Amino acid sequence: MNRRMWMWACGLALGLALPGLLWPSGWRWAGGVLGGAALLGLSAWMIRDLVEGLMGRADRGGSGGGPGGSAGGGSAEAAVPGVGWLLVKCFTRHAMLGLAAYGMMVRLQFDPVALVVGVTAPVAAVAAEAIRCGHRGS
Amino acid sequence: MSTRRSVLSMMFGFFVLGLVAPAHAQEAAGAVADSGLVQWSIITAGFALAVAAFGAALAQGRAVAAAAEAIARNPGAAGEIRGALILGLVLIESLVIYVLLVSLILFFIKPFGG
Repeated sequence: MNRRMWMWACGLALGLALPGLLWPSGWRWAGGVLGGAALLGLSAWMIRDLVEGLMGRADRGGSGGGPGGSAGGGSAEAAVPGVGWLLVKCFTRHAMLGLAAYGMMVRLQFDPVALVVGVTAPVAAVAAEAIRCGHRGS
Repeated sequence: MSTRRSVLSMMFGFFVLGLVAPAHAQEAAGAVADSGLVQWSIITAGFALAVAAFGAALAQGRAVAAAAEAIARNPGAAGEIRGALILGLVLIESLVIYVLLVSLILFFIKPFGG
């Protein structure tokens, strides 16, 4: 995910959370929006690490003579995590998301609708970036 | 110009959506707990999660297969394909997170009473 999309996502999440701070009990709304965006951000981070870790290991294994081989020791593939840690991330991803969502909704009492709106913010950012790229390309 | 207009209108729409916040601060009026409705809502939430996980698994499998095939055909574009793959997987995951949140609302918040 490129930097611009992340900035759009953060900006949208903040923009949606700020109106909640104008009301006395609006912290539940603001926390919900930011928490929802954080949920999707956590999911994105884990997916990115998993895909890049697995593909990094595949690149290292097949760097014998392919055109995209990194036999020269490119700086992009500096540290490839171990298989064990990748598998832990893969199989505990949903448990961590569920625990985080439970904690925010039940324990911290964030507004559930705000959580859903917060999850939508990064998706809207992706859509906005796609529209921008589509119009630039045409 | 039309790009900026569409993006600005989308942002304005979301800002207006954010202004609805105080409506959700209202406490629900005391409703008589309908145990049957609560039970069905919990069962529905469980099935919804299962169906969402199934659909997401299918979609993510197809995305990964397509990405692997594309990289095999054009190894030089592996970086861009990887970025598109990650983006697609995250968007698919967002739908499962929606269902997860609705299910948690039905399990723990119990909007229908109980």
